[in-house]
Amino acid sequence: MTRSVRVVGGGMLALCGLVALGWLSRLPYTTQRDSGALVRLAWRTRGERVRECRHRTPEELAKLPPHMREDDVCEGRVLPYRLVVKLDDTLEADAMVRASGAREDRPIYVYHEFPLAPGTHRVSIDFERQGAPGEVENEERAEHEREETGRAERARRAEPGRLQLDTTLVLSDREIALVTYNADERRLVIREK
Amino acid sequence: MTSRSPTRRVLTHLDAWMNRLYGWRWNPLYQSGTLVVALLAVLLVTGIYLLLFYRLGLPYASVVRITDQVWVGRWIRGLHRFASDAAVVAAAIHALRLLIQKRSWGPRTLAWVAGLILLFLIFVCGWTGYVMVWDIQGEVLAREGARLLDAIPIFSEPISRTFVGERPIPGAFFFLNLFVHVALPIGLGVLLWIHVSRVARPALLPPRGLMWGAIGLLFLISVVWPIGMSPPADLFRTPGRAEFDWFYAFWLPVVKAVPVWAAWAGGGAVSLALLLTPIWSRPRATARPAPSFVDAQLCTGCEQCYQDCPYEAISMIARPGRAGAAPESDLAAKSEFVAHVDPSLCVSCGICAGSCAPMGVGPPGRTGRDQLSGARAFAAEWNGKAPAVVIAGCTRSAGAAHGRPMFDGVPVLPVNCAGNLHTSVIEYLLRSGAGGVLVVSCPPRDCWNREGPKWLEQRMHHDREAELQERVDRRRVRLVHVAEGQPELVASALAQFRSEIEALERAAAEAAIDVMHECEPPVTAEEVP
Ligand code: HEM
Ligand code: SF4
Ligand code: SF4
Repeated sequence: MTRSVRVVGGGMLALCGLVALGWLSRLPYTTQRDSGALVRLAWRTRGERVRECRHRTPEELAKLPPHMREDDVCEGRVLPYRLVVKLDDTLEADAMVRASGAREDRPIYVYHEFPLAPGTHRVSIDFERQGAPGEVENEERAEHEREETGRAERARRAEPGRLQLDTTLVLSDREIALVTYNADERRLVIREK
Repeated sequence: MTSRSPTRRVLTHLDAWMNRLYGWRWNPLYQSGTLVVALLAVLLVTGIYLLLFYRLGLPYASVVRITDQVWVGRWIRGLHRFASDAAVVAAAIHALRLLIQKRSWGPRTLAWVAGLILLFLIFVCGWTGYVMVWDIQGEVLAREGARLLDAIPIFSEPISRTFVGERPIPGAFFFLNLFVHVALPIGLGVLLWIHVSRVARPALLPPRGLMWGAIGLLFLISVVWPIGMSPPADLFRTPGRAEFDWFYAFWLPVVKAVPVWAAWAGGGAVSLALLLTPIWSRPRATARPAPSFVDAQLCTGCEQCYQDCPYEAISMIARPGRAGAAPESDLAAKSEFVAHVDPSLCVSCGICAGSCAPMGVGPPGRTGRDQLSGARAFAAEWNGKAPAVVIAGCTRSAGAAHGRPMFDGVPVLPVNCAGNLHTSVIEYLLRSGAGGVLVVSCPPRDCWNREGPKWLEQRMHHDREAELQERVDRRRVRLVHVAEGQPELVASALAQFRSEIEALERAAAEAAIDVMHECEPPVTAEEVP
């Protein structure tokens, strides 16, 4: 290979590599749909805390070290919610939303995204606390505890057992409508930019 | 013809073409590891400048401001970006080469694993760097990263909530991101040190011309094709079509399309396969080359192998039993120290075999003594008719790579690595009647054992210990560096060397007749085209 071929060839190859580098460094790509809008559901609620207690059997008690032999075992958890989402009267989601944390005793986080075509859409959301029968008793007990820790403050911040939203949205291209919980108004609201 | 994996054949061809274009000294494929180090240095310098102008409270606007500095900021930002892209490419080539060359197991396991972590940290630096800009790409990367991290049940609050738009993004997020981006390079430095901790005299930077050439090219593209600004991140708009840096965002289309568990499972499987490479890529136990051993009877304690070993596998230890030996005993007369090979560090490169004048060290079957008996058998095949030239070729270079017993009519003595070759073998071949010995090694930067050609050259021409004896006529020995894929260069070197040897023989024959030269002098080496 003569020197000139090497210089030209080597130079060309280096430039091609460079162009490829520059090109791949900023190559456009469509991440979600090309033209699309989105309804995003995102809120956090502390939910309703319940304590569930049961009596230990004599056998269970016998297995425990003497200083740990308490009659009742109690576990606190946050009641789940049922989330039903309808977009333009089509059922898009019907799911139980459970509290976070391994023991379901942390706050509840809702985060869902529903892509939509730009335009007018009817959005209806139902978010309802689910209480299992038999828990009422325990709830009363939790209620009693609550009274001990500042009833007025709690009552003011307590979240409703059911949140509903039924509205019509007009979304432009690539617009995101955020459905979130407004703690002051204690209801679901739509937030746009 | 020895069998080669298809990947190895592709690499051989690529290397050969790069050598043709740039010469082996500047072949960027050979220098991929050192280029990464050079690029990391560029990132450090340009990064410090960018940091001066970056504002945590105004991420996007401050990057716009840097980009608007037409004379400095814009190209520095470009250089920072393109150097990080090139670093990923170079690191990938470096890793792939080592994998194809099967230098990915045994004592190299530490380097392999540390290298993978290095590469991963470079990616994390890149991702956080893009999040710093807080344009659409930054937002998409942040969201996707958050989605993946939220699958790990250790965060009290899902990270994804940061980007839903319920409230402004907290400053702590940008702070943490910047902290990771700036702190990781320190970790990179430590890891690089670990990465090369098992190699002696690591070559950390490429030859200057190549390094500045590469940086110059990146500078050129930063100026000629500067990077602009994508639209800013917007929590209330879907990203739509946006520009991405595919060297860092290559995984996005796949990961976005699958459920989070599948992304973790896929990523986990790939990572595991890469991390376990030292296990799955190693040869079967029976096919693994054995580590070196020292024959303490022969070792004179000269320390040469200890200095030459490219993997620091040799130490000098007190000669066993000598301390209590009677003063007049054989043992007491021997050196105080002997070489000792740590088998867990030895890659069986055999370079120590070439280092040891008394032939006391080397992998089994490949010590200086073994090489000499191999050379004897090789010479015996000439049947008394010594060839004008013989080739002693590394089995990985073009010298003996193709496994043929003859190259252009010249007998070939295969050597495991040119650095193994004991100089007394060269002398023996000449004494057995060969007119000249052409030694063919790999290009020094591509020696699989790192330092073979370097040490051999010093032993042949610069009196490095275990040197080629002074009595050997240097005109009859030649060392050339030729990559596996360029046998044509061996052919031309051979033709040249052969004609020089023929000229020598002619001159010797004429001198033997002892006639007066009144006509033209014999052709000299320089005149041979
Ligand atoms: C990402 C940044 C990296 C840098 C800056 C880097 C740099 C280097 C350097 C300078 C050497 C020593 C070269 C020599 O003197 O022979 C080396 C050796 C090595 N590298 Fe890397 N490397 C990187 C990544 C990797 C990766 C990702 C892998 C593999 C997964 C890897 C595997 C190795 C191995 C196995 C060696 C030892 C080679 C031998 O023992 O012969 N490196 N690297
Ligand atoms: S080169 Fe040979 S003689 Fe010298 S220390 Fe090593 S084994 Fe001993
Ligand atoms: S063969 Fe010799 S030179 Fe090579 S790593 Fe082992 S001890 Fe070191």
